[in-house]
Amino acid sequence: MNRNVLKAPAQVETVYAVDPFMPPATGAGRLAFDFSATTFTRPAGMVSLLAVMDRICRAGDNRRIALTMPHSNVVRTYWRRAGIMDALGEFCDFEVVETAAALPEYNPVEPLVSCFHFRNGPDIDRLSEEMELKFDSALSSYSSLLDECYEIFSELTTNALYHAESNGGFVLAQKYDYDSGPAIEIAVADSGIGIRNSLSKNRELAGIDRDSSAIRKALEEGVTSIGHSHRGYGLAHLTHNVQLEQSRRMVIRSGSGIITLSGDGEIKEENTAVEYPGTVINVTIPLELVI
Amino acid sequence: MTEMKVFELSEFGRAFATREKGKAVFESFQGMLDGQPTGQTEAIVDWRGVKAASPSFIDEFVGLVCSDGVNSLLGEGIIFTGSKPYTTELIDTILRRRGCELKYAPTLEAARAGEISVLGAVSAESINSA
Repeated sequence: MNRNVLKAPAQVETVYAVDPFMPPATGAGRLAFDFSATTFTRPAGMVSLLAVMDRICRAGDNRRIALTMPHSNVVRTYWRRAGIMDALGEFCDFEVVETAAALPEYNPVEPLVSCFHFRNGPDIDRLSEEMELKFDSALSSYSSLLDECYEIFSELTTNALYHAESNGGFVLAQKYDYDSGPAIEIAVADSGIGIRNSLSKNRELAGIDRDSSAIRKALEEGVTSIGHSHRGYGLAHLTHNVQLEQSRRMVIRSGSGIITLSGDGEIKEENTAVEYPGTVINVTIPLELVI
Repeated sequence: MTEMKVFELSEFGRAFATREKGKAVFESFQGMLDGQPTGQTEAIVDWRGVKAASPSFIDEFVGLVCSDGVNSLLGEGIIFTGSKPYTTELIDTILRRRGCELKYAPTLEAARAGEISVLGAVSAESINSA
């Protein structure tokens, strides 16, 4: 078996998705990601993976990435439409391995905000405006949620940009129509220093020794790596907003820590064996129709 | 006689996300005030048409608006107006966290008529809940 071929699972959905095929952080030569068996992907899984690939490409080991495309035309078409291939090609020279015969393209859902590798403030302002415009058009029935969704989107991306030290990050937002009702998922990932290392720049927070504890601390109002008393509001306010409705959910993974915050106030803390190289956050907001 | 200058945020977009944007918009606001005589100008910051603003943008923009240089030029002559309720609540919270107060009027007409309240004011209730 070629150990440089990493086989993706059937479903690349959550912040845990990359664990089964997490590549070694350093090394040289060709690294092949095989998505032939993948039948479903969601924002958290895809941005997590892109951030990992970004870390590999930035490591400077002259690695080449090969991507075996999914057999599923639904996934292939969605990837193209959601900008996954463009985002990958923007930071890395990669080779596409086609395995399936060309079949008629299925017509999957449109992304709410396409996958994008943001690198600076103007990128975020432009993407945030794209989200605002969606609430003014396709999502006008849910306009009462614009403020909260905009805040999630803009705060998570700006946190990644200003605190991760990773030259930006990746974002993808998608609306789903579940049997229980529609919902929006917003996922942001970076391949940066992680929340614990970021907080440790503030001497008062330098003693936190677990990633999960650092994530939990970062959710508190006034906690920031910068140490200014008026900063550290954005993530705390998001936490407050998530807890306003029972069916909302926010999952934050950074290093070996994972915090899952539910709308019912429950906070689940985990520490994983696989260390994620950066931070990924996924927020799920059910959409309530305003009549 | 006091001159009233209106600064329309909607000229810079419909949605405001980053601190960089907050700084850039403030610099334009400052440019509008250049050359104005100290203590003889009132500035209305008109938020009408702003569909969404993030806490980061608001913190940067209002932090600069509250800065010493602008205050010494305008004194208490800055009025925010026309923001959406959600945005107004964010501005109020952020001002309180910064220990800064700004005048607020729900509409431009109310601002011109002097029908104003104060954002960022620390009430007895907020002290007790802190």
